[in-house]
Amino acid sequence: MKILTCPVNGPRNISEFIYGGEYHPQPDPKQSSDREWAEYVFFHANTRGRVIEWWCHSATSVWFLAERDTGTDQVVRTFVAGNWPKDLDQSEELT
Amino acid sequence: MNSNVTRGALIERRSFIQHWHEQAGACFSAGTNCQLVQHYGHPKEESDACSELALADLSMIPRWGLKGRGAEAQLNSRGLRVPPNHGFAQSQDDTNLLCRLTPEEFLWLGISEAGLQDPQTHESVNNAWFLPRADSHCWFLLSGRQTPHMFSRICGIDMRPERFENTQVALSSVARLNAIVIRADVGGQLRFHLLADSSSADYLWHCLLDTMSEFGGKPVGLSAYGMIR
Repeated sequence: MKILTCPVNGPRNISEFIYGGEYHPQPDPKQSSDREWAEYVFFHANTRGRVIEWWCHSATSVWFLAERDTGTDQVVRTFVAGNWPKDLDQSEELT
Repeated sequence: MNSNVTRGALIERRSFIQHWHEQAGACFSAGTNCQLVQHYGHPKEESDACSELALADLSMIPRWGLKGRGAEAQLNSRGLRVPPNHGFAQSQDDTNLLCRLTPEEFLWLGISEAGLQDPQTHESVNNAWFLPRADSHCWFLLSGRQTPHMFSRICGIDMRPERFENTQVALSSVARLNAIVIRADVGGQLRFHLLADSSSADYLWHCLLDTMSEFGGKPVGLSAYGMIR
């Protein structure tokens, strides 16, 4: 069983988590075009390498972010949205 | 309309698994507007089982929660001893438990005899929201040195005493249900409180009985723990 570490509850079996999709910076809803908003809501980059993803610990409904390497499937770190690591650029997607 | 129903009368609370208790030959004791399982006909054996592996239904005992930025301050103002860190419980002077599930969410378990009284009405004020838990969650108690081995069959967390310390709280999956597990030893006896969605109480109770059978565990009434006489 794979283990993922919830930043609030600690390490738990991967079966307790729900994948929430890639993290994308939210465009300004008042300024963005329909195309930009559709890309934010629906489209994924499917990058190979380090990406930021939304995950949910279903037992507690805690949503958090995970930095994961999609090539090796290694989770580098997890954190809650309000505690964004200083060495990660929040404004751009990782590639 | 049923003429026997009196408008405004208190309806006696029943356990989520009342039918199972009755079929198992439970001897009931009157609680506050409810019936509590005293024993299943073998009080001495049940008392002995508590130190090995035993399961009791505490679902009729009051419990409530408080959530929000102001929750800690409000609990402090009530004179309760608040756990400093989330993921831990704090025993109160009367053996009731206050559990800190997350930094801003608390669960109060009225374990002591005094706690058998109905809780007073709680209002949601000052950024603290009252969470009624008596109907949302069933509440079971597991005890005895075999309990961690039993948990290893249905839960991913290592519950051995050296790995899961006393008063520690885990929110995890137990028998594929979202559950709260709290370790709260009494007199050196290993005890775990288990709370889960009340609509799955019957399923969970039978899962626990099935898992316990491998380790010789048995269901017990509250008199086995000295909670009622």
